[in-house]
Amino acid sequence: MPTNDVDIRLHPELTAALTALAEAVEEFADRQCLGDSVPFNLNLVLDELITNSISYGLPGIDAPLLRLRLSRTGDTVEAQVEDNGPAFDPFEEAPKPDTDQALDDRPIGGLGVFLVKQFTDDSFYERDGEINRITMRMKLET
Amino acid sequence: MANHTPLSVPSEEHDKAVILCPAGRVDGTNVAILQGAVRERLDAGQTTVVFDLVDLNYISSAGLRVFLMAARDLQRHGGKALFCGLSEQIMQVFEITGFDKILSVHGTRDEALGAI
Repeated sequence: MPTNDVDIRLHPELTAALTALAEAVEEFADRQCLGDSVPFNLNLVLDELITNSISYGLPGIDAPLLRLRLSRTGDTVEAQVEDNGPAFDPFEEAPKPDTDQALDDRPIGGLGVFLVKQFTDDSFYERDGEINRITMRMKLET
Repeated sequence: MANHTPLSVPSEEHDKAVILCPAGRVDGTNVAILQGAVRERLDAGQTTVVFDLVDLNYISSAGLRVFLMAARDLQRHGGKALFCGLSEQIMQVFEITGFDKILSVHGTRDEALGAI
């Protein structure tokens, strides 16, 4: 069974949401003794997804919903972000940066979702009714 | 207590460059502060900027984009951006995004200044 879960609604405003995220990740990491790099990476991937939701998905939604869940089962941390914005699969639609491109050719966008893919062992999108749900799993080094 | 310190960008003048030392966290909420500090230097005609990241404890893609744009702008004006003092976590972000290959990344401030 997952232990010490986090399941919170975030206020859909960037400063409030990212502050609450950083606090939730730090407290979760402390309880789970996750070391230094896992909390940094977890905060980073969740920051990217939450920033996208607040910047692009939720504006114009009457009763915006933004929800964060964190749990750990064995050596795997699972994180979920849900919002009720229009259906959007960031893994399908975001441009994939070519990390071998020269400085002048490197596009400015697409880095956030790329970081999510790189820092997680598994990540996927699903549409559940009116909800966008992104689930990510990170294996802890044992 | 989460380490959500506000971002500040103290600077130091050096005979070969200006050194910017962003301290705290850079994310989408405060990236304009970093962008403003960089823009001020570019507008003043500064062509060589060392970003000493020793006091930076978090960066998201919003901050990475500012670094990328700064390096590109400086290069176009015949100058250079150099980076040093990266934590293990931030170095990992640079490696994964390939920034370590397209940006001038050094261990210490002295090494960065020596590479100008």
